[in-house]
Amino acid sequence: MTEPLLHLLGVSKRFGHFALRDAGFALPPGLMLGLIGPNGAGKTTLIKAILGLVRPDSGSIRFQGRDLLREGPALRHRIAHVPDEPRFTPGASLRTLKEVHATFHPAWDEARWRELMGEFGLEPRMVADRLSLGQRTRFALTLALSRAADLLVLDEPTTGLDPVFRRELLARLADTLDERRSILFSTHITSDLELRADLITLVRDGEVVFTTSQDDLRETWGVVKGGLELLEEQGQALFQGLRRNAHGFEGLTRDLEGARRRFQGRALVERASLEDILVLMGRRKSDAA
Amino acid sequence: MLPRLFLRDARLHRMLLAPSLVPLAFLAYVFAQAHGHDRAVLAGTMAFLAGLSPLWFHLRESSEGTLADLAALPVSRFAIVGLRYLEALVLGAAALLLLNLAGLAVQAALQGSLPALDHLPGSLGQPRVLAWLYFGCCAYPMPLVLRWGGRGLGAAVGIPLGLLSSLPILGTFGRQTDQVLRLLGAVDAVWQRVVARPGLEALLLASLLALSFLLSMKAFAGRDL
Repeated sequence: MTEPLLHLLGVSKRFGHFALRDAGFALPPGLMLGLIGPNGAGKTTLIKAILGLVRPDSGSIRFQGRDLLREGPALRHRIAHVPDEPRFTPGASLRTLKEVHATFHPAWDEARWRELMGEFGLEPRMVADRLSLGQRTRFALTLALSRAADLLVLDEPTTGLDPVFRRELLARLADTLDERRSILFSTHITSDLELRADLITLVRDGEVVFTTSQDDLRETWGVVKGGLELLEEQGQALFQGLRRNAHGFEGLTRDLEGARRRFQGRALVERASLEDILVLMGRRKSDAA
Repeated sequence: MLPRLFLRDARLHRMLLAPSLVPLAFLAYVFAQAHGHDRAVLAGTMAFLAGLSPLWFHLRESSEGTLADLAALPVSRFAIVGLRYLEALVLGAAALLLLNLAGLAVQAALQGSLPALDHLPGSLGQPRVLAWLYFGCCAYPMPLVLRWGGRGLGAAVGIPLGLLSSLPILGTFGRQTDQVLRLLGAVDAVWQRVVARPGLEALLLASLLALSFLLSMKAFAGRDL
């Protein structure tokens, strides 16, 4: 079996009121992993741990088989990163920022950077702090994509982007994947991941709930929609998450085929989208009528 | 790696460097000329005020949210801490040089001719004074700034000021003037004893600088960004 490019095992970190508990997942080379979860679930903490910005209390992070927590500085030029809200030194031009950035990365590809700047509608003389969030994200992407890094870590990169550029970006990211290069993509715009991600990791309340393939998600996860009397008859234990209102319920199940057999003709059973999983997972509350 | 980090700061923070170095050095020299102050002390003070710049670099990166970018570069936190100490040293030396040049220019303008060159460099500060200023302005607050940013700098300035101002208050209102004077006298006696032995003073200073560096390393290595 191929060694994962990135392997997190039992990563824990406690802050004042938040704790990441025993989190782990493996990202093989050549794949895109989508990290999903509600705000405050721990996605950014996981990413910061990978980048060496947060030191875990326990656990290990291995990159290309090496201990990233111990050897981080030596390995970090192989990991490119785009933060959720890129920020740059005020007053500095994009050219200056690029020149500073490039000196730290031996595999810097100047021609590619120029090409990306043109494609993304950016000029080297532009001043970073006068750019919009979308432009700053585009610039951060030019820096990340010009480094020939083996792992690209993107934290909510599509938040400030328009839909057309978002779609182009996702296609471009998919093109950058090869047998040794992977992408870790954190987002709550789940439609982005349904288009491109090979693997999905769900993080909730500081825990990794699962890591699985898109195919597995499509084949095994489902949503059941029916009346409340059906819910009382069948019980709530069938569902990983449940939403009720005055008219009926929506339940998330991990056994799509089983649910189809059980509720045949009595409830609507359909494949769960990533958004369904994100919204319903672990939920037990009732909606106001 | 340190030279690359140094160049990074020089390029990104030059907006801070120019205003802090050139006009202050020039004004300080003119002020010293006009009032006959001890040039050595003033020059040293000014040089190390400029040496404070790495603290401002750090605070600026902290407040602008770019500190994480610095820490995510393929450099160790040890190198980043070393960078700050090195910057203080280099910028302090640069400030001294600027002051020399400013002095030459001012004297030339006032006297109509260049002053004797042997008069200026020697007056710009004794190494031990400069070393203590380096400690006071850079090494002492550095661990606090690296750990807590602006709050750390506030504590580094505020706590000694608070302690110093509390002593006279204690003496006046607590009617313990004698004890306060004795305490200050004891501190002064220890200080005089240390400075009377250059070896001991150098050892104390080296120990304090080493301690500051170790604390800075611990402070920054443990900081989540």
